[in-house]
Amino acid sequence: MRRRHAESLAGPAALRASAVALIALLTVAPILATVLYSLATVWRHRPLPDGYTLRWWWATLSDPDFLAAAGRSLLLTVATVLLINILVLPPLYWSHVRNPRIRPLLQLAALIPFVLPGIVMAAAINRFVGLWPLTATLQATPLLLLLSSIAVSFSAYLWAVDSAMRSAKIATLCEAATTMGAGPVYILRRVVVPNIKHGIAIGSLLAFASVIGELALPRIITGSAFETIPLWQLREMRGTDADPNAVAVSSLLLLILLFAIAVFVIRRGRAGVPSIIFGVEKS
Amino acid sequence: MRPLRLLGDWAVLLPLGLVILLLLLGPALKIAIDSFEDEAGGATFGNWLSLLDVPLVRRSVLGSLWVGALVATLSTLLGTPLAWAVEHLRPGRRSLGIAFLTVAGNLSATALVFGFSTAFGTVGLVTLAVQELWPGFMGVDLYDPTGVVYVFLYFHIPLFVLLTLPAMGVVSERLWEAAAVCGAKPRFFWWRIGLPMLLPFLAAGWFLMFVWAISQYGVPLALGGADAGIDLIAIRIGALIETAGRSNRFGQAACLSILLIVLSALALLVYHRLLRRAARWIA
Repeated sequence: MRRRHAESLAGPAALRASAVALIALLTVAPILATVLYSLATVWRHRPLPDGYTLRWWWATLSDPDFLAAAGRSLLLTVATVLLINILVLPPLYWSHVRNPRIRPLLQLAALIPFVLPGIVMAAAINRFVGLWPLTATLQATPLLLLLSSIAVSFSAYLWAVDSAMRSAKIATLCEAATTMGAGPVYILRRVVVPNIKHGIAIGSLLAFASVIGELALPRIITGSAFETIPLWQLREMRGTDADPNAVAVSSLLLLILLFAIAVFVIRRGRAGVPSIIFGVEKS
Repeated sequence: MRPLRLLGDWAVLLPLGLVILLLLLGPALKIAIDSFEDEAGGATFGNWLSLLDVPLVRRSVLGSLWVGALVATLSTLLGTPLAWAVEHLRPGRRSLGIAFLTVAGNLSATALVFGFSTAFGTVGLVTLAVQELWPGFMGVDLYDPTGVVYVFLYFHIPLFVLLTLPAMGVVSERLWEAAAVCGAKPRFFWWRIGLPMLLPFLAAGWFLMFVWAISQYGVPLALGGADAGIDLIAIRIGALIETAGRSNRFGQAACLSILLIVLSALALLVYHRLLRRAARWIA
């Protein structure tokens, strides 16, 4: 008798389960180590710290340098995300309802930051604004940092919102609204945005996460003149007065912040995370 | 009437277009010109020749190519079975796995380097725990220039898995059943059907991981950068800018930047071509 191929293609379940266990372990280990580090009194050559204390949390949260850096980082990141929304949403909307020729241009533009790495952009932007006396006053200013942050981090937002617009069938909705006599701005506010809220939230989250951890732009463009959290952490990691416990506390604070925003975004959206194949459209 | 209509069609793109033109394309053009200028402002090929002549610069180019290729290859080899395993989990576990991978792939550079060293470094949590069972275990020496490869792998493998996850579905149970009915053995199926279908996606993933690895700046910087003996293009650009200030001697950094742009653009082009052909399998 012929042998039947009854076994499934997926492979042994135990192997798959252990793959997830491995991923979980590897992901959790650095975070757990950071948590222990932020709570340890002393940590000699043993797997666990000698004792625990909240001292480092208190010290970091009352450190004026840290608080100032946190303020700058939040200001920069929130402003960047808001401006990305203002700059990207209208042309994207227009490309869906009125002028489809904008779309390939936007798609191409979204790929540019991947061709121009952050460090290259940071160097190039500084050189470029130095060309004219008028723009040279921008050199090393937070405003220039803000503009460059927009330029290098709008791609993920664009993809998320674009795919949300496509799955919400924005073009059809707008035709219906126009037939009933609504103007373009009214439609954008009352019809389009409510339907793609989830895409906007995901896109904003992605932009937020990438800007708040960015090192190349603040380091090269403003340097210590506008010290953001990653720059402050770098100083606490390597400087002469390094304080690794403070790095642990600040890393965890950022992680908690991002996690809270992510949970909020995902909880609120009824639809799942839009699946984006990087830069290529599903046809 | 015609110009007015034209304005209505394109005006919304103007603000974003300006940002892209002035903060991405203009600066990129400026450094392209810079790469052919000598310190006095005359035209020269000297900067480009320095890529071959100056040992520090040459080493950084070779270093980036080597690290990029190594990280991309290892991410593909290790990430492919992992992606397969995650894709074939039960829905609940699958989204749990994706959540862990997303966290591991998106930690900010400073938090990642800090967490990684406290977990897997020579006196890290995991290293010390393993040493209790197996005294010879040394952990990852982050002060060695090869340490950067381990940290890169830590976040490139998750990104590779997330990227290729949608593609894993193309080799479906139905295909396998059809092949099995025709008398195919698993080995034959994988060799002649499964792998050839996955190959374009895996190759595309390789190229994207390559681009990602060569454009990293934050992680190698947090590992100590040029002072720690890390020879990568991005680090060399940063070091050249910091020593040259905003004045001349920018030529070498400009050449390295252009090289990085060209490498990324070529790899992304290949990526795009590969996926264009393969995307029809994902419905």
